[in-house]
Amino acid sequence: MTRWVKTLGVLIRKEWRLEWRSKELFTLLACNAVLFSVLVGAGVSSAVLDAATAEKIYPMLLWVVFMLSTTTAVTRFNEQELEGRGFEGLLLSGVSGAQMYLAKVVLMTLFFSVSFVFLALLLALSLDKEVSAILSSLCLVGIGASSALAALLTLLAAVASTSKLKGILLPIISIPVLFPVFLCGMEMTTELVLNGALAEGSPWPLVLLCAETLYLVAGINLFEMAVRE
Amino acid sequence: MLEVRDVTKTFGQLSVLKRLSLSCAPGDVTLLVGANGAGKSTLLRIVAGLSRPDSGSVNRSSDRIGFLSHHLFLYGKLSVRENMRLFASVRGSQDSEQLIERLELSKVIDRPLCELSKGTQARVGIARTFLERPRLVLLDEPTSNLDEKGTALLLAEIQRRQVETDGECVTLVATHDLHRMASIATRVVVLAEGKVFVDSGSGASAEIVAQVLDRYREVNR
Repeated sequence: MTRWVKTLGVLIRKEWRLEWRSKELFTLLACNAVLFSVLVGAGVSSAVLDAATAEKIYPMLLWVVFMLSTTTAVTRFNEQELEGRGFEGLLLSGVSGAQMYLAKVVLMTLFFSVSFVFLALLLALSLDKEVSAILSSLCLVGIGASSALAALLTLLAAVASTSKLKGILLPIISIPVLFPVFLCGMEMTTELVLNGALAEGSPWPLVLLCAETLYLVAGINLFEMAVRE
Repeated sequence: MLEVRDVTKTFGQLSVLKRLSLSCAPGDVTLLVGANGAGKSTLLRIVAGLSRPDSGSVNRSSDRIGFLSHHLFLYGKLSVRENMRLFASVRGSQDSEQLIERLELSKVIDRPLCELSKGTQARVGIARTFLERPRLVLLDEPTSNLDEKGTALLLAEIQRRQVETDGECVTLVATHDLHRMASIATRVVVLAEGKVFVDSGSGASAEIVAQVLDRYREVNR
C-alpha cells in the first residue's frame, strides 16, 4: 500500500512537471475564463438587466462559463502521453491505469479549483456583484465540483485523445454526462448567493458526492482500457 | 522463460499473426527477422503486454520487461535525468548514474529529451530499457537511429544483462540489421505471413545462425 501511494506521489509530480513545462492546461483555462467572462458580462450588460436580475442569474452564468471553459481546455491534456508513448513506458514499469488516472485527477482538480475561484471573481466584477462574504463557501463548492469534473473529464479526455475531432468531440460528449455536476454546482451557488449559506438539509452536496463517486469508479476501472491500444 | 502459444492477431480484415507459437529458453538472444508486415512488432507488443492477442496466450516467467521500439516510452518535455528518475522511482530500481555514464549521456542529462538528436534519444531509450534490470528484453528495430558507436553500446548492454542474470535473461530482437545484430544472436526465427517460417532452434552456433540468415537473404533478394 505504501509503495502504491508513493508511486502515486511520483506520478503527481510528473504531471505537475509536464504542466509546468508546457503550461497548456493553465493557459487554456485562464484564456477561456477571461474570454467567456468578458463575452457574458458584455452580453448581460447590453441586455439592460437591472442589478437584481443580474444577481439572480450570476450562479447560472458562472456554471455555464465554468463548464464551457473546462471542457474545452482539456482537449490536449493527454497529448504529451501520446507523443512519446510515456504511458506505455509506465505500464511496462508496473504502474496501474488507476494510479495514472488518479494522478491526473489530482492535478486537474487543482487547476480547475483555481480556475473556478478566478472565474467567480472575474464574473462578479463584470456583473458588479459583491461575493467576498460568501467567497470561502463558494471555494468549497468549487473544489467539490472541480474534483467531480476532473474525475470524468480525465476519463473522457483519454477516450477522445486519439480522435482528430477531439476539440469538438470532448465538449459534446462530456456536457450531457456532466449535467449532475452543473445542476448541483448551480443550485448550491444559488443558495449561497440568496441566503449566504447552504440551506439546512440541502440535498445537493450528497448528489454531487454520489456523482463524483460514480465518475471515480468508472475512471479507475476504465482509464487503462481507454489509453491502451 | 517465454512461451507464446497459438497467438492470433488481426487488425480489421488484416490477419497479422496466425496461431503463432514460439518458446524461448533463458539465455536465448533471438533475432526475429521477416519482411515488413510479417508481424514482428505486433508479436513484441503482445509479448510485452501492451497489446492483447485475439486468441492464444503468452506466459512470461518475469514481469520485469525492458522494451525498446521506435516509440521511446519517455516524456519529451522532461529532461533525461527526470525521465530516468521517474522510471527508477516507480519500479524502485537501481540508481541510473552508472547506466547513464556507460551510454555516454552525462553531458545531456539535464536537457529536455525533445531537444536531443534522434540518435541520442535512442540511447536514452536504451537506458530506460535496461534501467529496471529486465529479465525479458524486447528490442524492435533497436539500431534504426543508432550510429556504429551507439550500436556497440547497445550490444554491450545486451551482453552485460546476460552476465548480470547468469544467462537467465530472454532477449528478443526484431531487426532488419542482420549484419550488426547477428554477432550476439544464439537463435534466428524467420517470420512470414504471421507464422514461424524457419527456426534455427535454441542455442544455435554462429555457423547455423549465419546459414539461416544467408538463406533468408537469398529468399528475399
